[in-house]
Amino acid sequence: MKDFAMDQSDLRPADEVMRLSRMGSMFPSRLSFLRTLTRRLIADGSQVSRPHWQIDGDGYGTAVYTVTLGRHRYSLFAITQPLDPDMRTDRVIAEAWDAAFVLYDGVPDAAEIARLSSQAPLQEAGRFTQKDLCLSRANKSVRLFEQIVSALRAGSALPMGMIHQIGYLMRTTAVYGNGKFGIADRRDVAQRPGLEGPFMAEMLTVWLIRTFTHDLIEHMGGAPLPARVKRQLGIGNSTGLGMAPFLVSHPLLLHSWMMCRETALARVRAAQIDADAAQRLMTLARRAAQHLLEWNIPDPMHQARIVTLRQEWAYLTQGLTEFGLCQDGAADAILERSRAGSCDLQELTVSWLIEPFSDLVDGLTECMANPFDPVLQVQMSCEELCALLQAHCEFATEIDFTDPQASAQFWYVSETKLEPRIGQRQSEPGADRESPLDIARRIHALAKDLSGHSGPIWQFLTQFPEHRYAVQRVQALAQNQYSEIRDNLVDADMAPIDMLRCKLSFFGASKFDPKSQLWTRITLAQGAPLAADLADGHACDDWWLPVSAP
Amino acid sequence: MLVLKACRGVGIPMAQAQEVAVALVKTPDALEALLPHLAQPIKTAQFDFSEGLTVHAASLLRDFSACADAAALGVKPVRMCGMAACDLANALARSRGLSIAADGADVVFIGPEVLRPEVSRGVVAPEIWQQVSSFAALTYVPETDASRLGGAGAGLNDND
Repeated sequence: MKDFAMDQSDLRPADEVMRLSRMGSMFPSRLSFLRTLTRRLIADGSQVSRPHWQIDGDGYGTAVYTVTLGRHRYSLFAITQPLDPDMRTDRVIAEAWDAAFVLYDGVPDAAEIARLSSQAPLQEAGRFTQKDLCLSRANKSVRLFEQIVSALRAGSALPMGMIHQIGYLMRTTAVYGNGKFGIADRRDVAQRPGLEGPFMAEMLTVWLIRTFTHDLIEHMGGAPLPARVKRQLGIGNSTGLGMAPFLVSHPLLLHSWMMCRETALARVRAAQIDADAAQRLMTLARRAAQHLLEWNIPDPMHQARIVTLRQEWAYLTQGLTEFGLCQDGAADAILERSRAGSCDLQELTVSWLIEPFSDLVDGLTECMANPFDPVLQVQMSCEELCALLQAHCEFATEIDFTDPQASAQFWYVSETKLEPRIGQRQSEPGADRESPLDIARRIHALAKDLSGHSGPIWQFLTQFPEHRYAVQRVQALAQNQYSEIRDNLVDADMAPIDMLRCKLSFFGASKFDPKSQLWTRITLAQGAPLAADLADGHACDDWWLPVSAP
Repeated sequence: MLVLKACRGVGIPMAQAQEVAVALVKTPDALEALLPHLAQPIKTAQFDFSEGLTVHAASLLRDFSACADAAALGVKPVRMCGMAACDLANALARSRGLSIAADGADVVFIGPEVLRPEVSRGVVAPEIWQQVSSFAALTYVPETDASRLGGAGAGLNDND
């Protein structure tokens, strides 16, 4: 972050921000990791080359893409193979995919390409090395892929309606990083320029996969796609419960992400909007309206939310003028007006307001990595901890856990698939092996047992060692107000999709397409600069909320 | 992550399991010494605060954290009775910036640790890894019809 103070308004309180209903309404913003990556690629003058391409006419074979970022070279290895349609599934536990990928540290030689060719398709079952930074796989969006190939081969019109609606040629079902399955640990590369931020290696992988999908379809179709069409084609992703526990198991990282976003908002609320920024806000307001119009999904409940949001957005932005936006306190006033609407409206407003202010916002991305975990402050007394519980933990201590509904669900890891799942405590076995995501319940239990105790907290913990985790988190919460989701994650009404959307919005995902309360499809990098844009110097970071006709 | 799950699998509380996992990331060679501690039943420890801190019937995995807390605060002496100063105990102490020593059949805390370079990756024998995995599996829940239908999410077919 830049080392000078900026004016800012008060931060929104954590009791407001860290509620699942609001986290489940978040939109991508210029702080999203894919945006950070593309800005870095542009700033570095990065160029993408394709040193290896052995793909046959049916689209099967191997390819390597190399990009320089922060003086280091990274390569995407891609392999495509025929796939029986019966094997093509969104589920993370699939065993075969249309394509598999590895982000490689450096440029793989022939021997390494041979190794990756044998191991990448195996994904979780493969053997990997510290040269392998990320592991991913993807399936085709079959209908769109086939229609575009046919159109290119026939020289006929492209299915633009489908392109805009679907928005990607392939959909990843997992992008693994940070030491999973033997690949490199994040700490091995976390200090490298360009990869310091959260999930930067994963975002680079996704962006390069997108480039590969464009090349693949042009190769199979035997004709180029117009650049404006390719920009419309991002990369899809299916995300399920596996992503949700991350927000709970990395409380200080979650705090850093939310703190940066809230600080960005606070700075913009305090800023005097000039004519250029006002003009930009007007343009972006129209783009947001168009985006909402083009965002249509099958799920009736979520589609109804989008329809409501369209109406609310139109009402909020009706009558806005550049002159009005330049008046004192305009941003603050708009944010205040948005509070009359849904959380969707409020969070869209937040992302919109901070979008034009690169000078106030972009430096915050340097504060979004946080490698630390809560540690016990051993010198604290029981009385001091009680005070923290009273000041910060009402969201947990006020829950009536004698009501079975308050602990109706439990998180666990499936023995068969080794993936997080959620079960019903009263009707399913396994609660005795519950994963420790029930933070509110643990804090509640701590408060109950702590009552009446005095003296050093470490002595209390010799009697109640099971509370050490909750104590650490309460202590951390007192200093990092956005570190905890302030809801009960085992309540009967808890919807994991809200956690997914929060995290995915930080990735830069758009067009959320929930398939249930447990998983969603999304679009990444739709509208983002192409590799060719970097090459010809036309790349720009103006792709907040993709629309068909920017 | 596997070490954390293995500790949780035998009933070690989450925070203490995290501390063991962190220690073994820094000192992976001590992984083998974890196995006997995972296998032994966890008893109710007795903490005696009359002179420093003396712990009887301690579980290294569960109770080391509290002893390290006391040592870090300058409580003296801190003694874990009947506890061998194994590689794991040393790894846990090092992870907290502390030193321990054997004193007869006990472990005593003797002061701050001299900083050593961290190890990024260790080579672990497959049979050790397998045993740790089997303890970690104690946190996994077998699949049922209900969990197959309701617990996971995601579509079965992706041909659209």
